[in-house]
Formats: sequence, C-alpha cells, structure tokens
Amino acid sequence: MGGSLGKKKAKIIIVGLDNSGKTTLINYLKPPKETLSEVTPTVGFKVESFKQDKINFTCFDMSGQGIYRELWPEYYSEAQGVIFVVDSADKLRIAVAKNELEMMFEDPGIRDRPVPILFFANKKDLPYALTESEIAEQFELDNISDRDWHIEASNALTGEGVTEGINWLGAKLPKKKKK
Amino acid sequence: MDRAGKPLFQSNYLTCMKTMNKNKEDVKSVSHLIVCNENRELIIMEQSGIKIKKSIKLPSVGVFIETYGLYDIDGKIFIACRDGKIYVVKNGLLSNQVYDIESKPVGMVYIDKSIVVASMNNVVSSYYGKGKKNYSIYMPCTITNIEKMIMKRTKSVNAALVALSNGEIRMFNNKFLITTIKTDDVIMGMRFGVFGREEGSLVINFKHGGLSVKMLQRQANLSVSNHKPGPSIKQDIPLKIKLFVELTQRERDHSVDMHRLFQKDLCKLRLKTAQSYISLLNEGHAPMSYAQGSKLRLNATTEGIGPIFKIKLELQNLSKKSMVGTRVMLSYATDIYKVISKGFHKPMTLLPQINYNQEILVENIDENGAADLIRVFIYNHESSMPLITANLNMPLSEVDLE
Repeated sequence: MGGSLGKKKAKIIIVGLDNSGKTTLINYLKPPKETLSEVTPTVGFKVESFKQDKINFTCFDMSGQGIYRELWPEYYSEAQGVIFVVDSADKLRIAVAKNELEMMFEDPGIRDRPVPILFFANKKDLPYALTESEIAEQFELDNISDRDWHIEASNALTGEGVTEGINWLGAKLPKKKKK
Repeated sequence: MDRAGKPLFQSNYLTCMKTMNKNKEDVKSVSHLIVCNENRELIIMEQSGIKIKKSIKLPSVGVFIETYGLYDIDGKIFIACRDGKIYVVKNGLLSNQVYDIESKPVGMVYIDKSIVVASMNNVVSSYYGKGKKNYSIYMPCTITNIEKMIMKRTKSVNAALVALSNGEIRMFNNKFLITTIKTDDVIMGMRFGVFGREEGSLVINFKHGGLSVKMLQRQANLSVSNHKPGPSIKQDIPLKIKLFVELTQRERDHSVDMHRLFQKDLCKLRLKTAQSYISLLNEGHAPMSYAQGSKLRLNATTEGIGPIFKIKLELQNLSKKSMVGTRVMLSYATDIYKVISKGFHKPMTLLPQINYNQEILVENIDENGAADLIRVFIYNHESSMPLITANLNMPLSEVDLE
C-alpha cells in the first residue's frame, strides 16, 4: 500500500450481536470492486480494510454469534476505536446487547483505555425500529464519562448514516505519528 | 375397535400431548403424536397424524407425557398419571416398571437420563431410568410448573426450572440450586428454548396475563462446582488445641455416660418443676388455685396515684359447685397503709362461672409515700391455708401536701 504513506492508519474492532449488520456495514465501506453481493453470517472474524476520510482503516469484523463472542476480548487491546452495531428493530435483544456492552466495558482491554466508541443504531429503515435516542436511553450511554461516544442511526444496506459515523470516529482517533 | 371408513373421532377429552421422533434425532424429522385421554388410553398416532398406530390401555388417566429416544429404536414413553404413578411404555407395550411418586404429579421432565417429577406435596423428585429414586428436593410452597432447561449449541446446560406459587423460579442442576429468579406474579406456564435468534430464552406466562421473556447471559455460570450447597461464607474454625482434643476424646469415650447423666438431670429438673407448680397451685399462691379441691381465679389490680388507692378484685369460681363462706383478707404494713373501705370481709357465696367484683379503698399514710406489698388472701373457715393469694405491688404514692 504505497499510497498510504503519509496517511493515518487506524485499527478498529467492530462488534455487536449476530444479525445486527456488522459485515454489511463494512461491505458498504469497502472499495466497490471488493464488495460482496451477498453477506453471510461471519464465522470467527474477518479482517477488512477500507479508506475513509484520508484514513486507512484496518477493521476486525467479529462474528456476533453467541459461541464466537468470546473472541471479542482478544482483540480489544489492539483496537484504537470500537464500533458497536445494534439491530434497532430487535427490541427483545436490546437487553442482550446491553449485557454484552457492559461486559465489554468491564474488560481490561477497554476499561483501562479511553478508546472512542461509535454506536450504529442499524436497520433504521425497518418499521418499529427504535430511534438512536431510545437506544442511548436503553443502554444508559449518558453514564459513560471516561471516553468519547457517539450514536448514529444507520441503514447499512444503503449506507445512510454510515459515512457520518465513520467520519466522527476518524476525527476522534488518537493522533498517530506519520510513517 | 374398527374405525375403518369412519372419521377419527374421540368422544372423550384429551389430557396431554407430546411428540416422539420416529427414527431420527433431528428436530424437523418425522415424528409421532402421542396423546392421553380421559378414557385411560395412551394413543400413538401414525406419522401422518390421521390414523391411530397404537392404543394402549393405562391403569389410570395420564396427565403428563415425556419421551426419550426414538420410537423405532427402543424409545421410552413415560406417562405420569392421576393415581400418582408413572408408567413406562416401551416398544409399544406397557412395561411392568412403575414409579410411585407418593403424591399427584404437577409436572414431569426428562433430563439427563432421569425423570424429574414435581408433585403436589411440594417435592421435586428424580428417578433413574431403572426406577430407583435418585433424590428429592423439598420446596417451601406449592409448585406450579417444571421445565427443562437444555442447551447444546453454545454451552452445555442440563438444568430443571421449578416455578413456585410464591413467584420464584428455582434453577436446579442435578439436586443443586444454582439460582433463583424472583417474579411478582404466580407463573402459570413457562417454556425454555430458542426464541428468535436467542438460544437460551425463557418465556414465562403469568397468572394475571403478563408475558415475560428472560434470556440467559452468555457468561452465566451454571456449573455445580461453583454452587456448593451450604453457607458460602468461610467459617472460623478454631485451632485444635490440646484442651480441645482432650475434651473431644473424653466426649467420645464417655458419650453414653454423659448422655445418661444428662437425661437423669433433665428428668429431675422436670420433676422439680412439676412439684413446684403443684405446690404453688395447692397453696393458693398462683392466680389459679386448686386448694381444697376448689377452682378459683383471682385477679387483683390497683388504680389511682395516691394517697388513696383503689384495689380492684375480680373473683371467679371455676368449679361446678358453689362455694360458701369465702372471705377476703388483706395483709399489709400498718404503718404505711390504712384500709378505708369496710365490710369487704363479710363471708360471700361464690356461684360458679360468675364474676364477683370488689373494690377496696386503701390510703397511704406514710408521710413520704413509701410503696409496699399488699397481699390479698381468699380463705374460708375450713382451712388455715388460703384458697388463693394475690400479691399487689403498690406504686409509690403522691404525698398529700395539705
């Protein structure tokens, strides 16, 4: 990646429950020729990279399935930013997502490092989807005081809100020395 | 029973239903419907569901069915019946193996090669496949439901959920209580399984119409090893000093003698108590008296703040005969008290079951208002022993300043 010289690099981790739209979200951000026509449930995790707002992102797209969630903490310590994707139409599992979020905040890899967290209230196009403020209320995000956070309603299929969110994250990333 | 050419018709009511897979473990594979009815029958349907494959007569009406294994390969059907027994159907035949649960069943689940039955006597019992009892757990109140909690995909869990009438759901792994979930209402039904995308979900139906969904936390620890029964707090055990060891040894060597001695002393103590009580009653010192074969009750109270007090006596003859010539007498320190009332020591006739009230006015003549004891005796001419006594602790008196 010769062209990336002189540009910022960032390693981020993307987590969230299964079927919340993590891979779809990344898929939208990838260069057009690399995009997949169909997204299947991720097994384990996938490393993807994309360029956005003059930053080269390396992204750990974690699987959200119950059995793979134990992998998440393995990559927390390397991440400079966290993206947490929520299916805002799945009201029942908001509680599960909240529980996973709480566990993430208790993990030393996140707890001791004030990395910024971006929430995507995904699938906002679906009927009965919760708004981002409703999700922020459910997650009690106002209680987060040790780091920057932001919530963005999104539709990963059409890309609505995705760029805005990533731009916010890019601006919050720690200033890295240029290579 | 020839039903050929006639529509399938059962004139009585069904009591319970269950499915049993025919020859594959898979959830979506072909299965048989098994039902019980009020006619004491267990009916196994063909896989098409429109024909009876087998009908088995049971000794009682089945109310819960559990199945284990596959129908074609030695599967077992357990039927909990209203007579408090669980019958087993194997290879399409009623086997002579019977589990007696000593009460009526309120629920039955098959977990980890044993049958777990909740019964009306607030007991959850587990039986091995061979019919031997494994354990019993006693609940503090009525059991409303029992459900198995089995997860295979994400983690291995084999637990039983027991809902109680006080709104609690207790989770047992084997016989060990793992956790208790508290709800505000009585649970009428519950089901554990996959709900939407979440595998470990428990859907609860409440008596007042509420519906609640609970999901198992991913990192919940349900293993037995971390939930040993008994107090979890570490207890302070003193060091084994020499004295302690000697004492223990002595207790071990002379345990029989020590026990005997203790029993003897206990007997003596009881005898002494009984003797004292009897003498108390006979001598008329107690508020109830049996002196001279009479049965009397005396209740004495004082009223007032001084210097004049009113002593109120309430006398009742509890026997069946009337008592003639009973008198009231007061005993007091003459330098402190002076009796004002007159005529209270006239002989009285006490008729049975009637309350006699008497009021006696007493004046405190001590200049400092000292308090003392006044004793009230009831007696008759037959004996010098009082029939009954009451001790009145008089209060300190207000001093008459005039």
